Amino acid sequence: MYEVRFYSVAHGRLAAEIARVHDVAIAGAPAEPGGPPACAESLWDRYRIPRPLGAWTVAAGQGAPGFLSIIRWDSLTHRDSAYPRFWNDPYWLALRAKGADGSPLVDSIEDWILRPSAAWGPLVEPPSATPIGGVHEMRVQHVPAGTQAEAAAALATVDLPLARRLGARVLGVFEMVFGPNSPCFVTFLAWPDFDTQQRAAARLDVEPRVIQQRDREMARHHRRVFGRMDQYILAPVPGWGLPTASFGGLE
Amino acid sequence: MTAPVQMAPEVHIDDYYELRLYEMVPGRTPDLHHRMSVEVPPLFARHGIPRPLAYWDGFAGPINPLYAYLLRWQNLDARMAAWNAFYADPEWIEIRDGSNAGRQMVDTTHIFILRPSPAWEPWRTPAAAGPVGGIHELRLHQVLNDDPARAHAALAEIDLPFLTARGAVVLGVFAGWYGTRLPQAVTLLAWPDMDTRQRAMDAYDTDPGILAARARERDDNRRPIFLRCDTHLMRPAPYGTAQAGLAPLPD
Repeated sequence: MYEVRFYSVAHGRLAAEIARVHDVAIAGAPAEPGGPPACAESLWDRYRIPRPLGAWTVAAGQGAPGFLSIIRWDSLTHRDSAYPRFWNDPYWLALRAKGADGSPLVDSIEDWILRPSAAWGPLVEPPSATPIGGVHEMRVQHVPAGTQAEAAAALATVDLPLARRLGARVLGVFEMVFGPNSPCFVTFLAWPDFDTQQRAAARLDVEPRVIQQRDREMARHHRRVFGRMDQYILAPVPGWGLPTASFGGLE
Repeated sequence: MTAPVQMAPEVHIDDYYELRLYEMVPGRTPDLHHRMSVEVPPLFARHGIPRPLAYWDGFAGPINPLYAYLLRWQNLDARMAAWNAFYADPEWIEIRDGSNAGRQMVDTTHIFILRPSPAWEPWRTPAAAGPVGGIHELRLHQVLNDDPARAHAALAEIDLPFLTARGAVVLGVFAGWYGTRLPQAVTLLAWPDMDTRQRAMDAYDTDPGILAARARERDDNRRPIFLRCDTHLMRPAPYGTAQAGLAPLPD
C-alpha cells in the first residue's frame, strides 16, 4: 500500500515544515531529546517507518502552500503500529516543543491510502537508482463508478504513452482506497522542465488519439469518463525528496 | 557514555470504523436499499465483511442523493483482503451487473477510516439498548491541527452535553484516521425530530456559554479550534437502524 500525506501548510511556514520532516525522516537521531543529530539512524528508522519515496512542495494547484510525500508500507498493520508510536517518541516531542512558537505549521492534512493501478504495470520503468529531478506533476482524476477498468486501460494505452512521448516519465499510477472521490486515479509524472510540461499539455489537448478516445468513452457512457482533472505542479524537495524510476518499482 | 535510546511504548490498534458515503445516481437509492438489505448480506458474511452497524440515506447536506453505512474492523489488512475477495466474487459481479441493468447506482464513493474518540466514552455504553430512531446527523468537523485533542475535549465537555440536554442522542464520536481534511472530529447524533434539532441548533448558535467557550479557545490558541463543519442529515434505514452506542445490529 502507498500512503500520500498532503499537508496544507500555514503561509510562511513551508521551509519550517520541510525542515521538520527532514529532521525526523532523514537526519540522524539526536543522542538525547532536543539534541543535535548524532546517530546514524533517523527517528523514523527507529520505528521502521520507511523513507519517503518522494517529497514535494506544491508549485501550483489546490492547497498551496503545500507539502506532500509518498511512503510505501508492506502492510497497514505495520503502518499503524509504527507511525502512531512515533508520535509519542520523546525525541520527536522535544523537537516539536522546541520548534513551536505558538504559530501553527500545518492547517489541514489529506491522508490517502492508494493501491497501484492496473494502468501502472505496462508503464513501469527498469530499476535505476538515479534521482529524478525536473518538474513533477500529480493528477487526481475521478471517474464514474463502473468505468475503472476502462479508464485504467485508456491511461495505460493512450494518455500516458502519449505524455511519455512528449517528455514525461511515469513515476506511478494509483487508485484511491481510503480517501475522497473514489474511483479516483492518482498519477505522478516527471517532466524535465516547465517548458516541456507546457508544450505537452497544449499538445495533448488537441491530440487526435486523445480526442478519439474521449469520444469513444462519451459514446459508450453518454457522459465524460475523465472530467475535471485536479492537477498539481510539484517541485521535488532538493536532495532527499527526489524519487527514482517508478518509485523504486512495483513489488 | 552514551545514554540508552528512549523509545515510545508500543502501539497496538484494533478498533477502526469505516464510513462509506455514496454519491448516488438520482433515482437509484431504492434499488441500492434492496441490494444492501437483501442481496449483499450473504456475500459480506461469506468474505468476512462484518455486518454494518447502520445504514442511512441522506435528505440534506453537501451530498445529495446520499447513501451511507458504517462498518467496524479490528484490522485494516484483514479489511483489505475481505473487500478484495468480495469484489472478485462472481456472484457479486452477477448481482452488480444485474441490478445495475446497464446503469450505475453509485457515482462516487468517499471512504474514510475513523477511530473512536475519547469524547465518545461518556456515551459509549448507553443505559438503554435498542435501535435509535428519529433523524440522524453526521457532523464532520475540521479541527485545529496543533492539538486535535483540544477539540475532542471541547466536544466532550461543552458541545455534546449542550446538545444532549436539548434532545440529541450521541451515537458515536470519532477522529478521522485516513481521509480528507484531517484532523477531523466526526460526531454521529440522533434527534427525535427536525423541530427538536432546529430548536437545539438555534440555541447552540446563540448560547452565551457556547460563544464564550469559542472565544476562550480562540484566545488560548490564537485561532479557532473548530474550523469548517460539514453536516449530513440522514434517515436510518429500517433494515439497519443504528443501535444505542453503535452496538451490533441484532440478528
